[in-house]
Amino acid sequence: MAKIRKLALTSIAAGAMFVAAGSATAEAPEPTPTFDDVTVTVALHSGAFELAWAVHKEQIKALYGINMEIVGIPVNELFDKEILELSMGSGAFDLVQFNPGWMGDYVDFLEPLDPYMERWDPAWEDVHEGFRVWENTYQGTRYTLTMDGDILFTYYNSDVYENPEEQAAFKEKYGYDLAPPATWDQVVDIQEFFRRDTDGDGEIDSWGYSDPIIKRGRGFYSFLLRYINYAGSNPQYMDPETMVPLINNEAGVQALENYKRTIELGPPGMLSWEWDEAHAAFMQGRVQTLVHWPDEGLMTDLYTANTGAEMGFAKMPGAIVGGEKMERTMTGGGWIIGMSRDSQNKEAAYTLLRHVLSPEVSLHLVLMPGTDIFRTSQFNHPVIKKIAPAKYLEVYQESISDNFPELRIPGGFEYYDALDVAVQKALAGELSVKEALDEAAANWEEITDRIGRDEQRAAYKAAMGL
Amino acid sequence: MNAARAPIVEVAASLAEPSGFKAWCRANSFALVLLAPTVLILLALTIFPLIYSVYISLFDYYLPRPHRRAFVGLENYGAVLTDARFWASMRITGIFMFFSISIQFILGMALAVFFFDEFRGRSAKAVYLPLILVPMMIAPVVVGYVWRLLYQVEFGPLNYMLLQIGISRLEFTASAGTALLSIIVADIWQWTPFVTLVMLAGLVALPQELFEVTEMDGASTWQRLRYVMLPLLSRVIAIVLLIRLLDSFRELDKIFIMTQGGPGTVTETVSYYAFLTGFKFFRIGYAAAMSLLLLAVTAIICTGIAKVLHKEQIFER
Amino acid sequence: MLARQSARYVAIAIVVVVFFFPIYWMLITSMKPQEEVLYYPPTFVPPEFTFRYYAEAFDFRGGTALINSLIVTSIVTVISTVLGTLGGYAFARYKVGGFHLPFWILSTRMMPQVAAIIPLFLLMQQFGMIDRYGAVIAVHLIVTLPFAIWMMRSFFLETPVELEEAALMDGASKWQLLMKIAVPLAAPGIAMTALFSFVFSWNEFLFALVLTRRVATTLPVVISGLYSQHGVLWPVMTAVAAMGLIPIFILAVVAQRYLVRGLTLGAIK
Repeated sequence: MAKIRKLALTSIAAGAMFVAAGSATAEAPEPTPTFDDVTVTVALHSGAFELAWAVHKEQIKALYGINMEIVGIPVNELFDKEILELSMGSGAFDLVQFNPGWMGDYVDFLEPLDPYMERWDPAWEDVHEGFRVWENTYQGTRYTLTMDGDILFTYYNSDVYENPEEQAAFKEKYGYDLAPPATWDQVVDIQEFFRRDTDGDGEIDSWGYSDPIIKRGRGFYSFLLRYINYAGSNPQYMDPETMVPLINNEAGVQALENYKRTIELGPPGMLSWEWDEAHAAFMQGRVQTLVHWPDEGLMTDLYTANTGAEMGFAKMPGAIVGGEKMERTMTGGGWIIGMSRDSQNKEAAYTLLRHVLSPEVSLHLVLMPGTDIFRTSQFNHPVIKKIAPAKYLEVYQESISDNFPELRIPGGFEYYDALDVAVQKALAGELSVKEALDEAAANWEEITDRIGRDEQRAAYKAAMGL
Repeated sequence: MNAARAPIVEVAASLAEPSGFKAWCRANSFALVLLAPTVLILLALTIFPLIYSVYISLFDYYLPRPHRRAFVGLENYGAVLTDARFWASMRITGIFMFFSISIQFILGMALAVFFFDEFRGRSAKAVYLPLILVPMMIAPVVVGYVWRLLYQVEFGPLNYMLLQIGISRLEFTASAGTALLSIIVADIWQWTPFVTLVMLAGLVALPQELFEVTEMDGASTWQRLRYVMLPLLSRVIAIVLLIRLLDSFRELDKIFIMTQGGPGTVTETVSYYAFLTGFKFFRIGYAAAMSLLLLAVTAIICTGIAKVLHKEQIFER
Repeated sequence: MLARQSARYVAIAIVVVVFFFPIYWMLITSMKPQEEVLYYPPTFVPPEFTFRYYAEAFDFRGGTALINSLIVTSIVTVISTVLGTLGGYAFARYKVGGFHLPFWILSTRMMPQVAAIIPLFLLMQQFGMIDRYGAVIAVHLIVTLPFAIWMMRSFFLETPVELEEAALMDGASKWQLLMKIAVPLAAPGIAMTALFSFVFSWNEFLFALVLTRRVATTLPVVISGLYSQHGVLWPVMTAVAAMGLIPIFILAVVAQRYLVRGLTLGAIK
């Protein structure tokens, strides 16, 4: 037990060992300009990213004469603190990390990177295409680079799923074979099937499934993951012509009903789960299936030590609409980094950005916890292939290709928040599913009108590549 | 005003020529000098910003798009007053205030009476008193985090203890039914010691013979409470309620840490909602209008209380 | 009688446990390995104590936060105590503004912080004061200065005025009256006012959250931000919180007898 405990969760410090194991002296991509004691301020979200980037501080100073100053901002405050600085035009941050979903609000304050990238290629083609298109490019212009390959897919306890007794029992009960859920409808069956009291003390202590994050704030992603699949061949957040919200249509209702049912059958207290609760519940074997970001895939040894089982990987559940299988996923956040329009040191800022995110250097980032693989070269690198299961890398890459864009229009953060409140109200039973979605839709209409319908229509079309 | 304590200003005035504003200023010049820095600081930090806030509240002002700021007159006020989420948050604030203050009051009073009996006849203060005072001295942010740990549904100590005595897990802040209650409990934990301490001080200050007499008459604890303590403590009670009323109306820190207003909006107090509109949605004009309305509510409470306090001379001993 | 006595001790024990348990839980969480925090069953007494998170806290701005909070809080305490003493004296002895002006000053402490911070934020931004100590100190004065004025007013109201009157007749200046007679008499009150100004400023969250970024972040702001995308850094957070408790706890013990008066804005002695 004590041993298991020791292994039970990763701490940020553990990642330093990886980097120590790899070489700490990555080469500079190729000769680029040097600067005379210029300071570049990078706003990152505090914790893992901050620590991973800080490793390269001295090298950047030595190679380019740039002082990298990192400002760590707690993830829940990143949007507001950055937008305040950017909109003020202070130039206090040269580089800013943010979510693709906030692009609509950020883009006015960002420096287009095309001219820089044309001069010094940041190994653009090596960034995974799903990220290049839906995260880094906006209205045909390149504004950002991906700095963390977040994407959502499925983890499962393969021993349990491959157990013949379980398979027989499942088949008998549901009439199809037990397998990692291929559709969201199946998620509910799996949730119900594995819902048991394993030690006979009268308390349920095992469940089938957990969503990535449910708590107020980011729980709306778990709704959107379902919605983009239930919505069939052409999912849209809003009607591209009228900008009338579509999330409260039949697909939306189906999606939220499904989400609600999953939570109802899930562990008590799930409504307040964040990353770590979902992670801990899966890693301790209390939940057999988990849709999450790519972090767990590098913790298979820990998982086996805890649960005695092998970790399995599968693509995200989808939906069958009109006989056709939908297979879409989202970044569920995801991190990109762009340059402030008001930066006083743009050349230096780009040089730093290109260095840290170059294929060579970024390999070190992804070997530390918190940053996930985002370059094709990383997927193919021998070190990565050695530490990561092949199936994981395969599922991971396919999932990036299935990436559905976030709502990248002005007010994105507020649209998301309105949706989040409504989704939570439905999950908590305050409102019926339809009422909640109608409320969200009404709030979306209000936001659209406030920002300007025509402007939003143009932004929406451009953001969705229509 | 106590006659034995003629204020110096009268002494000074009797030496000077007693006429008009100039004379008043001359007589009070020293006081005005002493007060000047404070008044300047407070004017700069409260009055000036408030005027600025009134100005902002007349604009449709989305912070990230400063160039699109448009004058809308009183529209923001109308919008706030017709905003269902605003009224819901007012209602939640009301529920929060009512339950947390009344329970704190009852519990705090009971503890005060208990400790009072405990202390009587002893000069030494109990060593454990500082221990129960810690909750109100620590930062509300820390209170929020600590209770989040305690409320962990899967891994928390409270549910573990409940399971040991055969009660199923509670969902605390994770369920719409119990979330507000859970915050109220944390607030009660934080502020009951305050009520206890103040009441205790009030009881200690009462003439002690009173208690000896009532005890000899064979009055029950309840009778003593109802007919002796409560009436004599009315001044203390008024103060406690005033402070708790205004402080809990502003409640934000614990919500910020514990639930962010969720699940849904069941724990979204009006302060937190105003914070969200201003600093997350950046609807600065709207947020300014909302916060001015809150200020008006506070001002009404304060003015009412000021009248009572002044009349009853509560702060004038 | 014995039974009654032991029942009392049991009751006291329960009360102390209820009020102290959360603090205990915070302290042991700071000494548990991170992986033990979210683990079932929870450990009430960790099998092994570790203090490494107290050291790690300094990598997460714990040290900066403590220093910043000490700087901000000390300056706020000094300013509000000095100005509070002067202003309180003016109100108590000269009755400037009667009851209502001092009460208005007090009521600024009562206003919803969120109402003050919206315009203050915009103004501070325009004056380039964001993330400066000066900005935090200034806004903390909104909370502590009215309190200090009001408290000192109540203390001066109850110190005997006769000594001052006699000295005035003897030709002492008004400044001498204040410094030589009134202030020494009100010394305990001044100490208490300083103590509470310290606590209010030390714990203040919203103002500091909105006005600071990384240079001037105070303890509650740093504590509130101790999470990554993978959840709260529980042991580090509780370690920083525990260190932040030390000065408060010392003050609470030292100044026990002033607590009531401070907490009731001087209404109860």
